[in-house]
Amino acid sequence: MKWMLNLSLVLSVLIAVSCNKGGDKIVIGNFGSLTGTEATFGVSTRDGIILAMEEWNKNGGVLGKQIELKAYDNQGKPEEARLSVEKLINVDNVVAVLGEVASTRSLAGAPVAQQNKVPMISPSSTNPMVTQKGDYIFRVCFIDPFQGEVIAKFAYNTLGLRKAAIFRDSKSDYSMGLSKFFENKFTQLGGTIVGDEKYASGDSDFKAQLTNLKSKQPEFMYVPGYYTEVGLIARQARELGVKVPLMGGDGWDSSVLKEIGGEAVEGNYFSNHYTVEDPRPEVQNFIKNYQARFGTVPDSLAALAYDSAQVLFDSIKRAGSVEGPKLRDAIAATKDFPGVTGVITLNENRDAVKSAVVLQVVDGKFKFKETINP
Amino acid sequence: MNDFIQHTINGLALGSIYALVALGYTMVFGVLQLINFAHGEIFMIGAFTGLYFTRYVLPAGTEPSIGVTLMVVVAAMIGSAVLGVIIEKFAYRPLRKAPRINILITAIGVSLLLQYGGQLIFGASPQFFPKILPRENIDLGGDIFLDTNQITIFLLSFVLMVILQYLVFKTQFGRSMRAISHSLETANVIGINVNKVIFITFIIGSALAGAAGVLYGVAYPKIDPLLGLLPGLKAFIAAVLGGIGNITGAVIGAVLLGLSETYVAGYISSTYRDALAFVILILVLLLRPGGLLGSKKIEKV
Amino acid sequence: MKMMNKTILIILIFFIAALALNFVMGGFAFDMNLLLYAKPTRWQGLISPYYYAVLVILGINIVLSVSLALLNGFTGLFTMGHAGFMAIGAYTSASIVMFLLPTAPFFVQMIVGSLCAGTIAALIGFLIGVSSLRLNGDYLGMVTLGFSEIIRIMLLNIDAVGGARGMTDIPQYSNLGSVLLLAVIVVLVIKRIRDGRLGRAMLAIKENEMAANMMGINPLAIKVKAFVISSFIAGVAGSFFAHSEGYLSTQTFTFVKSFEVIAMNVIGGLGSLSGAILGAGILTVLPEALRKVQDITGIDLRMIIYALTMILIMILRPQGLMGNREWKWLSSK
Repeated sequence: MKWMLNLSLVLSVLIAVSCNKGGDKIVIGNFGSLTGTEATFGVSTRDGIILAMEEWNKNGGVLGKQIELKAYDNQGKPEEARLSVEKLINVDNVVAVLGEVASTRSLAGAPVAQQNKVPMISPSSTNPMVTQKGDYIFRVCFIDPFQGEVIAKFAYNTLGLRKAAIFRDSKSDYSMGLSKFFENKFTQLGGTIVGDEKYASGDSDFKAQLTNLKSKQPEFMYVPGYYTEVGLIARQARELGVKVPLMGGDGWDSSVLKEIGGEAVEGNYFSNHYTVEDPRPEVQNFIKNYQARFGTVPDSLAALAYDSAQVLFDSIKRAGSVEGPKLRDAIAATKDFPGVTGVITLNENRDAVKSAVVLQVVDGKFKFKETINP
Repeated sequence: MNDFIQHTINGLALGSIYALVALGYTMVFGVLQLINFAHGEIFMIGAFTGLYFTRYVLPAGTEPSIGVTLMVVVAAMIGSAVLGVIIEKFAYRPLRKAPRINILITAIGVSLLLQYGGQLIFGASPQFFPKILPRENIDLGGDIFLDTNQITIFLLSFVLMVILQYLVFKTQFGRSMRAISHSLETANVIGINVNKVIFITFIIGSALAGAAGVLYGVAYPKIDPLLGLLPGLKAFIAAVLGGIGNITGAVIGAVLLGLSETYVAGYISSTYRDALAFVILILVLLLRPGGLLGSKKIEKV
Repeated sequence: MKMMNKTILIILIFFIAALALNFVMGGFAFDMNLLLYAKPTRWQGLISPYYYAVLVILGINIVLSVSLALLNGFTGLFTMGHAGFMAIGAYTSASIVMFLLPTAPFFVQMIVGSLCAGTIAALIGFLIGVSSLRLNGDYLGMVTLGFSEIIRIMLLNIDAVGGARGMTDIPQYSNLGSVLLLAVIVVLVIKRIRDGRLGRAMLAIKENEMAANMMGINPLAIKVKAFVISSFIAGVAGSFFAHSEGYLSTQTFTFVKSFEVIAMNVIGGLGSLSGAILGAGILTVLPEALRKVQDITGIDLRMIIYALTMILIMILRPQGLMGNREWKWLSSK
């Protein structure tokens, strides 16, 4: 019995020692849902960060040091999100935290980063409240109010549509937020909302709600969900004979949407941060390298995560230091940074000011339609 | 009125999917009195077996047809049956004499293991389930649409129900099964090979889940490792609604559940659609614990 | 076969122990790396904030686990809805403190908040209990699971408590001291109940409901009492959870949370108070300690190891780690 106790002691000391190398490396942290129902978003985000990190490391790192990433899983639970930020900051001593996708978990993690004066950049949490948690919290995506208005303007002004139906995800803060701001803008412009139904992410049968929406005879449907559900929604809408276009937000941007939706997503529109047709080298290189590294086409979450890491590394370089306050100021001063998802300037609310593009699915490709400015 | 017909068609289609899962559920429960939480995951593995079979075993460019579908279904049934047997042998059999709650916890553990193991092996991102069954959208006029897949799945769950019914009530194996479900000890005493019967029950139940997985993939061509969670729970509720352990009851319960979910989302509110299944579960258990077709006796533990 | 089982079990226990030990060592100044690199400003006294946060969660989990033990372990009622009571407590307390008592001193907030949380949870527990206690076994489990999910879906659709976004900026006044104090009080109260008249009646019902009835015990009344006490404590635990996290979202209170609490009970040993505490300890520390495994392997095996541990303990030691035994200070003599 005793030798076993000794063995476990030795083992645990070994584990403890082997894990805390530090000193000559710059350690950054990422928290996300790597397992659980939203794992696919967390994995994309982590991969985007890894790609950016490896590119910088290949070119000599930042401030002459290599960058190391600690990525922790939170299983999609807010309380685990908070714990993992605590661990990143207080045990792993990261210089900055990147995360989360869902605003709920960013809201859980942000106060910890703020209290410890460690900058946190959220790649893709769109709820306005996230960056209001303090002056150390940033984001590189646009916020719900702006993105909701994009499709409202596009549908009303460009396509001349007047009657909209909304199909939103009651479980997702992102979808509820976009729907709210879309509704406000669209009615303010003079359009009417003829139908409003909800689903819950994880569902796979949407026909009851779609039948209802169809009977209201809208000129288009606004479905601001994630590609994980939208592909099936589009399919079932077409099966029920819905012929009007569906429209959505950046949550649609994934090759999975085209695979699952197939014919049914053809002709539909969504707002996004960038278009793959953009000839800028940032965009083209990112798509090429991501595919080479991970074997899949990047979704918008990967692109945003890549940008958040790029902004962070660039800020570390400009700050010449990894100390919290200095790094914070450098991130806040980010201006005209050429990211994949657009030219990023952070405003006084620490939100990214970017223009949005509207894309249309044509022949299995996302075709650029229009740029809409804030 | 047209809306009502469309809602009914949708509800029946949804119900027949639930029915496929509920059949396996109710069989295992009937014999072991075990809420097999891992049944949803066996169903998920069935869908993935179907996916990989189509992708890697069938020659590329195979045209969708009924024959192809049958092949894929059989492959998935085999995959799921093997998994079911492994689970039975290693996780449930050692616990046959342990308190029920232990088996339940083990079932939850197995279910978590398969979910997270699945995310590791298959990846967390949802995948497209290939088209293996030719589908046609029939316009019934008056803006009502019916999908040939819906008919196929509906008929199939009905056929499976009839076969199972025959198996349970007309064969020697069925008699042994019912004996065990009545009392495991007595069955043992009168010389029934309990382990063998449970083994076969698991094969059949899991194979059914595998078939359901493929048909689910055909109906909703998006599959991911957490796919089994909700249908598993709904199928359980359907089985309880019909009278758990009762094969006809499972199908009737599933169809009723599918219809009521669709009607509630269609006519009352889509907000509480997911809560509805639980409301039904509670009402059934409180008012008629034996289910619609079951006996009225309250189950003793 | 028996020998092999035993060996596997011992290895498993040592594996857990090694991880836990390793984790605990990281928590105090034993970890040389931490001592060298952690910034002094980031220490709250002796322990780093991360371990502090884990300990707070441990305290809350002990309260939850022990309160469920009253139902599952002592009365033999199998319920799967503890997350629902916790959610009610958390949201009630947060709402009362934020909407009604925003300016009151923190101890007033704490006392009023947690008492209201407990009371509302107990009220709901009473209603659920009275309506469903005639059911037995898995059926009671499924009904409580159903109630818990309905509660969660309703909370998700109430905009006043944040809906899908969640509730933010909840005053964070629960600290390690108050949570541990709560845990100690709850453990002692439950121990008293167990050793008193009520506890003996519960045990009688668990062993043989019909015999208990003939001895003049009213099983329904006892069961409802157990239900009310347990949900009250779960509600209080929810309140402390809300005020230590500072943020609430319905994502926390899914049925996975209820399973976790059940697993704490079962792994520790159903019917053992010490087991409930031990189980809470293992299931709180294990997932955190396993983060180190992720560092080494590069992929996240946490949940897989967690699930395997659960299955193995159930198979190799069905009575739980403690069985029916108690630690000395918790035994009834």
